Amino acid sequence: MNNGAMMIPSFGIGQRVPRKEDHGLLRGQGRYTADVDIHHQLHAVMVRSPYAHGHIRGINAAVCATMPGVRAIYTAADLASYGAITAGGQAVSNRDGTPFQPPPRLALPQDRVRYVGEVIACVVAETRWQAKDAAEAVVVDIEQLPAVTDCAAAVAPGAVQLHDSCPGNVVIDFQFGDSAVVATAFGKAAHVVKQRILSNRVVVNPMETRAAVAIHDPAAGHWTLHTPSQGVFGMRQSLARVLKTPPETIRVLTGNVGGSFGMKGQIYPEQICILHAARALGRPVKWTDDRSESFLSDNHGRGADMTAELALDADGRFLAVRLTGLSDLGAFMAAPQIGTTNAVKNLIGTYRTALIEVATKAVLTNTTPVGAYRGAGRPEANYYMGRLIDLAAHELGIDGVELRRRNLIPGESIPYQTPSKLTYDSGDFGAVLSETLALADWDNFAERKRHSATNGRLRGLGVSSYLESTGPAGQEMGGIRFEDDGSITMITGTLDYGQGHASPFAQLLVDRLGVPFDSICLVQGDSDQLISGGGSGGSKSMMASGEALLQACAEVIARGKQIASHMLEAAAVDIEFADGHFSVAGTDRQLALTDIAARIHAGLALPQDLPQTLDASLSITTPPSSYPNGCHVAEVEVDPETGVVQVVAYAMINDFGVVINPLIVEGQVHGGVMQGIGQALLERTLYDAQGQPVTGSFMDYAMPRAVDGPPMALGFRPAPAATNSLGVKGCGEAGCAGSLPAVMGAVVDALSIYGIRHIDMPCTPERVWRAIQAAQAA
Amino acid sequence: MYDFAFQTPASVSDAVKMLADDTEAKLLAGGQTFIPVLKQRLNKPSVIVDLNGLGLSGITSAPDKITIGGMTTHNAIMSNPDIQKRIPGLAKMASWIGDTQVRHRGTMGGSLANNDPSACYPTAVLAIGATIVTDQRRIPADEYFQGMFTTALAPEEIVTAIEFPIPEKSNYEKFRNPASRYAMVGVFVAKGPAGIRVAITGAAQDGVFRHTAMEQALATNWSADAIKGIVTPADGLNSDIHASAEYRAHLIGVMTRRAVAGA
Repeated sequence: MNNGAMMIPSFGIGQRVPRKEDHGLLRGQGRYTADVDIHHQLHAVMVRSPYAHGHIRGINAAVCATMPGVRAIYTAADLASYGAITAGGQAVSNRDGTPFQPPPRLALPQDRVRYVGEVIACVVAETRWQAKDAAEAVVVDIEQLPAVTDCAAAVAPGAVQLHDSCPGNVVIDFQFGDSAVVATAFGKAAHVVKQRILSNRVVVNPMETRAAVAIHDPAAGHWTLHTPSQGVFGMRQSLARVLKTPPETIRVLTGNVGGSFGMKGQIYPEQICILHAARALGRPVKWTDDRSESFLSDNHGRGADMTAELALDADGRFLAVRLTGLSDLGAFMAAPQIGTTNAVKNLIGTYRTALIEVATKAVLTNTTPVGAYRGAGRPEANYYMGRLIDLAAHELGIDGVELRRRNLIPGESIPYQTPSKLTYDSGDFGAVLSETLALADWDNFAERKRHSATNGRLRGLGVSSYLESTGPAGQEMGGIRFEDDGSITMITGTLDYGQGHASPFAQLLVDRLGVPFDSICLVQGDSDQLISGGGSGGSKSMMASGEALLQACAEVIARGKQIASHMLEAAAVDIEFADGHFSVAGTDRQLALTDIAARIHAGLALPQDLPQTLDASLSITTPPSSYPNGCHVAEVEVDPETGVVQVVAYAMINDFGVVINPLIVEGQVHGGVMQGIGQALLERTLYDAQGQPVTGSFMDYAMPRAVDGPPMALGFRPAPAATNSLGVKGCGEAGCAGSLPAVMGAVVDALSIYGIRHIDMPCTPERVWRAIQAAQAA
Repeated sequence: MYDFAFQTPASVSDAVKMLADDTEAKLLAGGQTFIPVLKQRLNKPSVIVDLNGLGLSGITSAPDKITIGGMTTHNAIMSNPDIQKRIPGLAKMASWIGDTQVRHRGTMGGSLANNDPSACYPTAVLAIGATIVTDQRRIPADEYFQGMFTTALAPEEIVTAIEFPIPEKSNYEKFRNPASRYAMVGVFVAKGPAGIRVAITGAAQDGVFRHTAMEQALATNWSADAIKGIVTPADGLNSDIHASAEYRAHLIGVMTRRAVAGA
């Protein structure tokens, strides 16, 4: 199409371009791992622990082995030659500076089970139903031990011990900040507010459960693993470490992924089991988790028991913030950063607070491991601070907005060095707050409150200014390949597990290379095509892949100029590139980038001293963390007779820096807010005294539904990031960070007429009703 | 699921015979409870006898009653103009069951035969004084419900229709379980040929029950105010992670007042 120049604006940076993948996904043409079937494949089913804690005295598979179709039963002994599955994530140290030592986790436990759902054995059969039948026939003799499911109980004297290597059930004894200085500040402060705050454990519940298909080529000594992930490059490295094989002997393929939220970002025992089975049996092996198993075996999210404190001077200025308490790891370490380094980086938020101390312990319990979940500590830290400010506002008798304004980092102080050793490069938090209040029609709340009262409802208003530190720098690939059919392939190592990367990445190429949007495809989930890749997580895909693709675009243009100078018979310095065309300066002689690519594919002979291709493939060190921020205002109605809370209005202004595709960013924020509402009002994971999960299905685990979501007014106020070429900040986790404090602030505001100052998540109807009853009785 | 044989009888009597021939045989109505149970391998029938295709669905309106075929779906009930007009509480109830997909599959007969202690329909049947019609007999509502998942039905008996007399007033209020959205407390109030009745579901260990204290108060004064002071004892009520017995007892009062006010 030669009207490309006319088409470019509608697909460029800042445009609301629909997701490239929607046409296929909406027609059922997605290819998820469960859709992958390999000729001659076998099927694996896992035998899982029915107990939260116990010694494995024996596994009797005699009957199972005789059942129809059974090809193998694997237990710990079969996998003894492999390494431990240990946690990834950033390095975190103990308070004494020593690195933490995660308890070793083998794919299959040798002698002890530590949570309900832990894989004990793997049964492989000709069909999935034969494997299921056979798995039911495996008899595991377990001597039950007492279980501990609460992190406070786990650190109490005499508590059940989970791992010999972790005395007291403590894996990380973390401390940041100068305790003595912070204690002095608290001692001298005019006001101190202190609150124990719980962060309820949630089940991630992506629409797609985990799955994997493993294929082994004995001649080449090579595995292929189809599996959902958050990035195939890192997963390949992790699998190679466990299997003790060079990374190039494994190819990891990820097709469409139906949600992950952090949960599918690491390797799991089931993948190791079926990789082993594929090699041992010489046939492909497929495994797909049931929803019931997903509840038990996917990493959970959140789970903390913290005490937060804020010291203020007589004028209500923040002097110091302190966070102490416990993070619940579950039975193994999956993510060390949640209640530790991410608490440090995200607690200060948008506020000028001179001193910080975070002194927390990461603690083992007989429960499903807890991993990264949409924010991985960022939303929690913003929540703790938000609650403290609301409490302080009440304590000091200062309006909550006024108290926030008094303490926001002023725009003129940017760049701002925080006591958590971050440098905020951009942002105007006061302006964001003002615009949000206007969008929320804050000033007319009293009228809406009166209207709610006429219907017997208590209306409450909550506000939060949030700020997050996105994922740190890493390595990322930027690849651009001109195919012989005229299409252009982008190759990068972040991974879209529902976010919609293809369109915004293509918008970058439209903007920089002037190539048609429809000709651009994204390759992301094939480790063989990657030279590096940090995966997606920590809201950093656009910072990482965007930057890498920009550099690849620059490389394409540099190569193109050299080739065009030869084709146009002009000096390279005279070649200009604009709107997809190379031209000789001051003339009308020009060549389209896409024409050059086509000519090269058609066999254009180029001198040896020129690039032989336009294709670019490079790996970069990605830009540092960005600081997306914003302000959320939530309004709730509480039915005082029943305790039911409904979020009835929602407004937010977000600073995500430059927004490449507002349509997709809005979708990310909507989803994040809904997950925040889920945690605030509905979701919780409960265990009984024996460690049996009692919220193991959607009959008892309350997921947010569309009806639980309010209409959301959403605006952007971009202050471009100064730390990356695009000026972008992350948006994927921000919705959770803003919504937890805003929604909970609104609930407490509604209940403030009873003298209620704090209530823990989730605000289930009975919890709210009981809080009202207790307050009225008092 | 475990393997089973699937049978499609040609008539109700065929279906009864298939049931009688095999004690492990089970009936399939809409399947909205039964199929999830099968998928979780919590039930292992030898034979499944499909009731679809036997002509058991349909709604007929007569001057003194509305007859609903046992295999009539929730969607058909909620969208039927006669039910909407003459028994509005029942239409509202049907519209609140499950989601659109469930309402197009799930049936009134299936729900009543199962008698889940948190199902909605038992309250309408009991409060309005409906009659359960089976292939063998007619069972008054007062004799039909016999405790959690237990009814007066014999093992080979099939619900073919439900006859509702026309109440002067009817209304349903449902406090949804936050997770399952089943009734945590569901209250049906009716004033009609069977008298003034208040039937409660979701709250009690034995399933649906009549709240006689509420009924007596409403008999003298049909108003929300008349029942304001009535305290429901928590004894015998369910207690679980979503609601204690005490909270359920409280909700019974709130939901009943709202049902009466809206009737």
